[in-house]
Amino acid sequence: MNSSKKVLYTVPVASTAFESGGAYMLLGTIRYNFDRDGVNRRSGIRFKRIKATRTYSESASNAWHIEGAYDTLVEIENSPWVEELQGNTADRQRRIGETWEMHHYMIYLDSSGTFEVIAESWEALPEEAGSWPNPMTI
Amino acid sequence: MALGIFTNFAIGALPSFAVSYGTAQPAGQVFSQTLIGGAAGVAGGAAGRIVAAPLFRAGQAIGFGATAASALAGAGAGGVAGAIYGGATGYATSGTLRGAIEGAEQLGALGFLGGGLAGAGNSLFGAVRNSYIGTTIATERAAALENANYAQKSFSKAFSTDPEALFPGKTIDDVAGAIRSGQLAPKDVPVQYIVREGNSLILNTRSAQALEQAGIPRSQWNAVNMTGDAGAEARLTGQLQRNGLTSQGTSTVAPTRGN
Repeated sequence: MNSSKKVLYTVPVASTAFESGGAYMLLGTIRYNFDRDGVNRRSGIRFKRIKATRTYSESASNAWHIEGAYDTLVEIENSPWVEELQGNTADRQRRIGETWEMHHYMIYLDSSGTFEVIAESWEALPEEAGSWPNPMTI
Repeated sequence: MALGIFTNFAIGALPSFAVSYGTAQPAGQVFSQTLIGGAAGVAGGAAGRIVAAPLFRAGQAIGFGATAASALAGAGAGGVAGAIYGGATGYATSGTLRGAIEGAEQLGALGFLGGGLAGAGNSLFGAVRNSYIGTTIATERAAALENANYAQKSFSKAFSTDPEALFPGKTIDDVAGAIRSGQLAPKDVPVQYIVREGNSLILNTRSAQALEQAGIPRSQWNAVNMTGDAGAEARLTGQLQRNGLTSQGTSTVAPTRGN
């Protein structure tokens, strides 16, 4: 079965205008800073109960990563990656009596690349004053 | 391929037919000799080609070196290739070792001569061609950027912090300063562009801004044509759409007010 992309959310400003060298992911959250009316603002996308992540640099991202996912969080439906992970953990889930809900999320942000996450859910962080720390100094 | 096999089979089969006809041998013997001759033709031709092809390519490749050695290398490669192919073909057509030796001598000499000429010719041709292509490409790229537009309206002063980026954590001021001081050459700051609907559009806004700020004319930029690269094309589409621009892009771009 072919995978498809379902649009979930678009970041509040174009990623070409992100400050501080673009977006980065830390502790399950994609963080980005931007300027609005001369004021530094920050926001992000947080994922809950993450099971797996992978990233592709800008130069390694291909058309499939970008088309429909540029600045846009999408869910990959019928994801082979989810299928693989469910298969690999089926026995463990059965032993511990849990059923893991897995969704494959993906977003491409300019100059930062592609972020892919398998998680139970996601949420957009509220836009607020201030800036996330520069990842080069963390 | 099919034609080659047919040809080799025919070459191998013909002498068998000739011998068989001349001595009026029984039909069964004629048939078996034809099969043997044909098989030898196929095997000899295939072996000759397998060995000759890479050797000939090697002769060509070395020949591109634009040195006198290329002629010798081409001659050597051509001679060996010709000898092997000639030997194989000679054996296939005559069915004798003598035939193989004669074939190897004849085609080996021809191969030596041909390889030498090809090597020398390739040297000269390669030098002229590379010079022409290099000049043409550089000129075309520089011209493409001369009137290139941006695909975004604003840019951050800081380069991407992505570890794979060229200048992670640096600002446009840092890079422009490094260019001015000679720490970086213009060629160290590549600028990718795409030609879409007749418009040249810059993909690396901050690199372009650093070069502009350093006073490097666009004709000296290290322009990299990404037209047709599916990923780069998709990125350009995203940049244009998110910035509300058409394929004409914009000639003006402004820094954001933040960091």
